[in-house]
Amino acid sequence: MEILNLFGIDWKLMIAQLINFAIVIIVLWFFALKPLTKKMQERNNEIAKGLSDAQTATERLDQVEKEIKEQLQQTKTEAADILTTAKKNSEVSRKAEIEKTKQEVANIIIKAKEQIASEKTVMVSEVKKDVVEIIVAALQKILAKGLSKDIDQKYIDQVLKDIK
Amino acid sequence: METKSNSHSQSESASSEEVLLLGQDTHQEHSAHEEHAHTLYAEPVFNIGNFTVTNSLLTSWLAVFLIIILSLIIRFKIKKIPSVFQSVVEMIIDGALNMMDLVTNDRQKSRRIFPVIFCIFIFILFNNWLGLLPGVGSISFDGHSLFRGGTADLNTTLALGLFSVIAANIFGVIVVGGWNYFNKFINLKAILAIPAKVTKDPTVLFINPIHFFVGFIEIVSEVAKIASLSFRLFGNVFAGEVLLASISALIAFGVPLPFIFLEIIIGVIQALIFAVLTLVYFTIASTAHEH
Repeated sequence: MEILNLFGIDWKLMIAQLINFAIVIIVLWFFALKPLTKKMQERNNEIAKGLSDAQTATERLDQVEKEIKEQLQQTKTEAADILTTAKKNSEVSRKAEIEKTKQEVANIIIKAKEQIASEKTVMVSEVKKDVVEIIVAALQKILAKGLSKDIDQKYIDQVLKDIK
Repeated sequence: METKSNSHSQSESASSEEVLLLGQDTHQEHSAHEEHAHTLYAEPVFNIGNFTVTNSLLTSWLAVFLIIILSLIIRFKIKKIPSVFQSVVEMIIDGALNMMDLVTNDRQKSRRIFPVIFCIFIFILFNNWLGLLPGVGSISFDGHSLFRGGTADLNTTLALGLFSVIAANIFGVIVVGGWNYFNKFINLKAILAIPAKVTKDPTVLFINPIHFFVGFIEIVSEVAKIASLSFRLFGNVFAGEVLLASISALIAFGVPLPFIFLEIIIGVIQALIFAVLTLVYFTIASTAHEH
């Protein structure tokens, strides 16, 4: 047991050092290490969650972008289709319209011609009548003083015959 | 016979004189040496009742006090987004856990042992380094140094060694189970298995008794672990202090500086060695013995 004296071994001191160490364990663990490791774990979990979220978000974004592209493509083709059909339709309708207009114009012309013709005949007959009356009146005025009735009548008839 | 015993006592007194030169005897020390005497044991500073407070214990208290302050600082500075200080602490903790994984190969087990191992490391590290501070050892009180590195006292290292080995054994009992753990040392299983196996394999008659005796060697090795842990740490730290004191006594300016750096490194290394060995003991104790 001399070695114990040589190194000054004292069980009380050993117990004191053990108590020191126990205090260190308790304080360091409960005040520093435990909350710190817990916080580190929490942060790790959060980072992992954030990364996976970002992953899904990126995937979702890609998907949405793809969808938008598809939709855009579809819309473009649809618009092109609509445009061509519209052009076709308008062409057809324009032609039809022109045709119709031409027809109407022709009709109007025909009608106008007819009217003009009928008016002309009416006018001619009226003019004839007027002329006869004017001539009769004029002749009566001219002949009232000189010529005999027979000659008059004969002359008038002659004139009338010529006019007709 | 008489002369022989006489010469023996003479040699004994001679050796004690040699030890005296090392500053063994407390009473003669005052006259023989001044401040820089380094005794193998920690010197008493004052008494509380019949409890003697030594300078090493005083330094240990200082270390505990500093660790408590550090813990409190960490406690009240913990944030989700870490400050630089917190990042450094976290880096150390993470590095320690990764290093422990190399030994245990099991994160779960590392986490279970972590508080004990890390606290051992920190406690020893603070004690080692406090022994190196310029004031420590040179402030004298009542003829003795007021402070002396906590781990430069065998009481401290022996207490830590005992704790480490006993805690490893308790951990082994918890993990492996009482009966299995008991059979590691007194291998009744091996003896009891002989009658059942002997018809299939007669060699168990020779092998299992060997296993039984290997168990006794395990008991011896547990004691050896305590001794090797405590003496290694004590020897290194004490030698470091003696070295620094000697160099300072020779040339006080400039020359001790590289040695101080050396001792700082040794302080870390020895704390690390103690902690890693404790970890190894824990790991060995918690692995089931295979036959």
